[in-house]
Amino acid sequence: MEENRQDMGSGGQDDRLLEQAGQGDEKAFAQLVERHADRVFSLALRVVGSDADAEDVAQEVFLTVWRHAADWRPGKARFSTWLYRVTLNLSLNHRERVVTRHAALDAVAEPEDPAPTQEKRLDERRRKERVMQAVAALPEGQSIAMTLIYEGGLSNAEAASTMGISVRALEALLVRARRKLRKMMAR
Amino acid sequence: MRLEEFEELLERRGADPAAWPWGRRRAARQLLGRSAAARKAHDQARTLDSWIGDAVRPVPASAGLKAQLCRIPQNHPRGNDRLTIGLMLKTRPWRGLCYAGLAAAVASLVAGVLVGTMQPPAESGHAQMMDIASLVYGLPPDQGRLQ
Repeated sequence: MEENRQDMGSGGQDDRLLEQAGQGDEKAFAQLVERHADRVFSLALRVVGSDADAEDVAQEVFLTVWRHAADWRPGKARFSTWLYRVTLNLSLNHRERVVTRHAALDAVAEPEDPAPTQEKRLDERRRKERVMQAVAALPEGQSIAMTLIYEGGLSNAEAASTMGISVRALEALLVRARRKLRKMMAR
Repeated sequence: MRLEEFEELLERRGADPAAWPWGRRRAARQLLGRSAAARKAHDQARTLDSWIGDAVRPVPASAGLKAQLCRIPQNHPRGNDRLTIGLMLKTRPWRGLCYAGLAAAVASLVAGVLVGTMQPPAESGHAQMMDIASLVYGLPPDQGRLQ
């Protein structure tokens, strides 16, 4: 079975906090916010493309958590995996409602002193910037897959479950993305 | 393991050996030990992983957003009915049961009205309902819209 990259103890802590939040414990809910708000916001931002929309999505996600915390069944799935799936679905729903499409995130290069002694370092920095810009421009499925793996620390199986696709389909997305980025790296 | 298989492994799973399938790790490590080409491919994959990690680094939620999220319980109280009924069941069981029964009857009536008048969920809301169902009943994940 594929190992999970996330901290093995975090799932149990989330279960405990959910149980307490389900009983009305607002401090436990605040701890869940503190533990997961960054990743929820970040994934939402990647899909909807604007801070304001991502904040709206984050509100909807955590409202869903609050309303259904009492219904959580430990052992069925990891809370973080379920949270990512809800975030993804709500982000896609939100984007369907929003008329204007905002621009994707871009990496901006800073000027560098092109002294001959630093040429090799400059070359590497340029290649890295090309890779980072290429990541920002990946097709949606590949972008979300990469976000779940690299930012979320999910295993391939968990990321596939979050996206509602097979592991094989997820790995196909990752392979296409990595091949594209490796070509950028080699230029 | 051949070099081509190792390169495919790197593309599917990345450079972190912890993400490689158990059954292939030993063969992959053996290849790394004897093949300079495999080591070069692994180094490149590690560099790429590092750069991708920098590119997808989480954008932190603002302190203002987190504060707003923490106010959700106050803005959307939901525990009052359960708390009241729970206390009544402990102190005055029969009265608590009566109130619990009355609350259930009212909830059923409201649900019946809603079901009768509610439109079928739009496709965009279906995924959310399936998420909630999976939360409660442990159903398998819904088929997503990303392929």
